[in-house]
Amino acid sequence: MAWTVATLQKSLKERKIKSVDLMRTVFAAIESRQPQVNAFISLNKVKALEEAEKADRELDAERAKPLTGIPIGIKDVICTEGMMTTCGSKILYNFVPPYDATVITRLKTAGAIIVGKLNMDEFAMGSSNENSAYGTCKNPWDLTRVPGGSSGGSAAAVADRQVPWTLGSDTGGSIRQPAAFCGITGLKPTYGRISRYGLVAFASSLDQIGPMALTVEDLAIALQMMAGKDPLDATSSSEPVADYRAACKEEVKGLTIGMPREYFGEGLSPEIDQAVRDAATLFEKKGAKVIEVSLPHTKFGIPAYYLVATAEASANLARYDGVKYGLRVGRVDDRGVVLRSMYERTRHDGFGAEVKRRIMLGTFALSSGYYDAYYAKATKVRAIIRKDFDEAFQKCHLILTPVTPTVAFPFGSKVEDPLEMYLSDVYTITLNLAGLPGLSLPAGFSSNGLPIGMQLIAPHFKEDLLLRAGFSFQQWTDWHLKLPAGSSALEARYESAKRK
Amino acid sequence: MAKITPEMVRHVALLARLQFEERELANMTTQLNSILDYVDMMKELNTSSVQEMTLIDSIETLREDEMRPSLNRDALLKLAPEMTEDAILVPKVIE
Repeated sequence: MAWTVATLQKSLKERKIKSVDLMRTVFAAIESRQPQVNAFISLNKVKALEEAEKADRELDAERAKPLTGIPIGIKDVICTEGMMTTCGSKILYNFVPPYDATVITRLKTAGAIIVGKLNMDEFAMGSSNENSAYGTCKNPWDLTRVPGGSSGGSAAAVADRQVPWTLGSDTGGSIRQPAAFCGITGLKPTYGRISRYGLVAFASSLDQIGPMALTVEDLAIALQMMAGKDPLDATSSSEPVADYRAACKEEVKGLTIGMPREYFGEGLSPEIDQAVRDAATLFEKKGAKVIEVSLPHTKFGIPAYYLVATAEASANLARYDGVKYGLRVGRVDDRGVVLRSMYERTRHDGFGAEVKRRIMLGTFALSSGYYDAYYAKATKVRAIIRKDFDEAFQKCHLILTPVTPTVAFPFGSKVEDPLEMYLSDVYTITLNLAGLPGLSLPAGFSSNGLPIGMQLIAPHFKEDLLLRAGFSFQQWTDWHLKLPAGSSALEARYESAKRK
Repeated sequence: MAKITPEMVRHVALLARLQFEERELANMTTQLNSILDYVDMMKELNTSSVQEMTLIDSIETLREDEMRPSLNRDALLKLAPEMTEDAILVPKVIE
């Protein structure tokens, strides 16, 4: 039986396995696959094993909390006290946060144990994990292909069965797209559902933290732990937190699912188109109603996103200046160095090409004389896109779309033309613009054996509907349980270690 | 038709405190122009009667103005690249 958080909670509680043995199995998996996959930037092995011993004492004494002894991997864009947090960038190569992000505090309070920090595109800017200063991360299904990005390591580590779940972040698709490329399940919650305190900011009106795992049920467990108002994040919502695990078990019968015609046209791989349509047919067979809807302004999403996100990023990344933390190039006693040259040299050496490109674009969009035509215009287009969704949701409960126009692409195939890379975000960025929650889950495989994902979209704060539909889908299908050829399931590693 | 000239790119680089060599500048100019050509499609939409939206339109409530402990000062100072006992050192400000 596959080791998921749900099954591990039970096995640990019933003392069928010990947390220490689980932790050793996880680190054996991580360390044996790190050279091929490069999912992790740093590991927390010594502390994690200590905490696992503590966890076993608590489990033995029946004093355990819901996640006691459960290992988790964290995208390196989320602050973890005492553990290096690089955001995939050279400019934070030595940054050790003096505080935990709120999501980390909540997970630790529930007993979870952090095993390490995961590889990512620098400052969450990218769709392939090729923009990391710590090496590319590989797709476990085909090591010559990208895992997606920016939460590439978070997706690869789960797909490769190194750790049962991870946290990622999503600003334009950075959870959903790597989940699709790696054949796993990921959730971007509604904007404001999960606190952003301690999430290193890329675009403050678009960013959200979200869980990534093998099953929808595990996402529900994670969401339950992390959702809710946080006094440390003024943009977090007081909207009541539903019982997400219970929501999984609700029936799909009676739901109406809309398929927007603009998401199924030119540019979409025919195999992906077919896989998503087949999923729709399955929902219909099981009692849902499927209709066509329209999101007429979809194509304007990319230009709006790449102006809003880069503008916000240019402001958020101004703090990386060599003054208070991180890389500094141009020391106090160096000849000819003044403050401004320290800023410029630090940022020149510390940031990669994609980050610089986006800072430049964003700065331009906000600059005097161009602000109205670019940034202000983009925020109006954003309002129009949100209105499209509001109108579609008058007619349906959920919207079903592809996640990506293609399956995982080979390394280097899109680095020449940044615009081509940006266009591949077409199905995901609209949700961030509108603040809507989205679930990415496995829907099949291409003829060359690569995972295909599908996306379910719900109205604001209706994650319960996403989990309901997704959980049911995973009862009827087994795409999400398929194992990449080079990967070994944790439970198999554990069994073979026991036999030795 | 080029929207951004290398001059404008230099100006934006100054605003962003980024520094480029000549070849990087030329590349950046080309790439930015290509992206701006693409985003120009937004002109097709009439947005004269549309309100700008940022999603962060309702900061729910502000907390009481009471003093609370902040982050640990020593822990923060330890992160600085160059420092004295109680200050962060930076190169001189005036050129």
